[in-house]
Amino acid sequence: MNAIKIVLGLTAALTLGSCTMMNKPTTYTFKHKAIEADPAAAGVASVSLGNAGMSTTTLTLSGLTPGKAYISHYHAFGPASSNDPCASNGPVTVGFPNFTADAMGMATTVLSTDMAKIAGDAGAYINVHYASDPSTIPICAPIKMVKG
Amino acid sequence: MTVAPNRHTINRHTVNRRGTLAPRLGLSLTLLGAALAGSGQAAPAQTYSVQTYVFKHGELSTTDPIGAGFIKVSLLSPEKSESTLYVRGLTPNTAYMAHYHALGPKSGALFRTPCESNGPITLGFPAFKSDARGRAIVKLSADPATIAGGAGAYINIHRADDPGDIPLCAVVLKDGATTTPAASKGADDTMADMPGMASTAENTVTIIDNAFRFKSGGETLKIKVGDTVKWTYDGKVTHDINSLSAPSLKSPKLRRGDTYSYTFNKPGTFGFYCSFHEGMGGTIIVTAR
Repeated sequence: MNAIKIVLGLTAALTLGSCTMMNKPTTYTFKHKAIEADPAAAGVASVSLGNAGMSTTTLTLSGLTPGKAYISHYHAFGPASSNDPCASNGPVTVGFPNFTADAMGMATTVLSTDMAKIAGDAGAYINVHYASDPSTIPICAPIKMVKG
Repeated sequence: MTVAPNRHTINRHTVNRRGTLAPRLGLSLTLLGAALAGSGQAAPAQTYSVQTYVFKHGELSTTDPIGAGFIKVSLLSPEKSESTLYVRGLTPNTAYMAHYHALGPKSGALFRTPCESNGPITLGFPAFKSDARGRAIVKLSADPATIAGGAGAYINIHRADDPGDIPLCAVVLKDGATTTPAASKGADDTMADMPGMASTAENTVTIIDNAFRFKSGGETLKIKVGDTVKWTYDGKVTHDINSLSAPSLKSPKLRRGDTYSYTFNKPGTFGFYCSFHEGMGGTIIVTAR
């Protein structure tokens, strides 16, 4: 039984990016989009796999506007690009809990979700948006670089 | 008949954050953000444009006496424009060609419109054939610079077997053109029976925060091939429209007052969504006529 769980876990891990290892988080770096908002924004997304096909993604962000509310989503690979997920305009797959930057412009948010929801093209990138205007996207973390 | 791929148009009146109305600029796209960089004010949105030019029958041609139509020129980006011909009254099942022409040597008092200036060809549309009802829709994508100003002064439609006979011509050059704003009554109404021009109230999708609403209710709209769906924005937060199943269905960021239209020229089921908002989407089912 344990052997079956291990095999299933490794299979799931391989579907999220190329380097994710079971119980060992994989880190993806946020890149700043070519917009004026939050020019110093940066951060990482740390993705780890747990039991029963669940994943945990932790966003650790800095350089945000202090006290400002943000939202963040996993997005599927969209139609606008095949090799730049952050430019592909994909649909939202799963949303992170809403969060607000602290007085230093830092924030953390954690999402636990079924691994299958963000596997492959379904979890191609993570955007951080202004809650007041989701079209303002200061940073994006590419997860899966090539569509398909 | 050569049927153009699915097409889209964007009608936008943008009020920038200084409160001035950005003008319609024909074949130009203004990126006002650069001008405001460093001014301490947020950059306003890009300004897109859609212009419509009406075809007139050539006085010297006896071919296709009821020929008529118009051309929509949509600026999609600084590097891309899309010109779509909608014509009817042609000889059924006949090969035609169309070209952008530069302003010719017969200038000034020697001609009444650029159509009479006998200018050289700037750019050709894909060769096409009218359908059994004498109609055709043809699309051309081009660098806007190629057809800007005098380089794209007018568009001629010729029979493929007799290019010297020019039944239809549309003046594009500013100050010489008969233009009809895409958002007003005009050419669209006279072509309502053509595929692509059947944008009815039932085919309108209202964008609100944060959902799409069909006039017919529900989250699915059923239309026929060639019908146009129009999204009108009535919300407050910025949205966009994208589709995984119809990649060319792709709007810019839409704000209050903007509209976006897309003509479905293939049957199928097409989902669409806003890329900014979770769960904001809908489905359009396109069936054959």
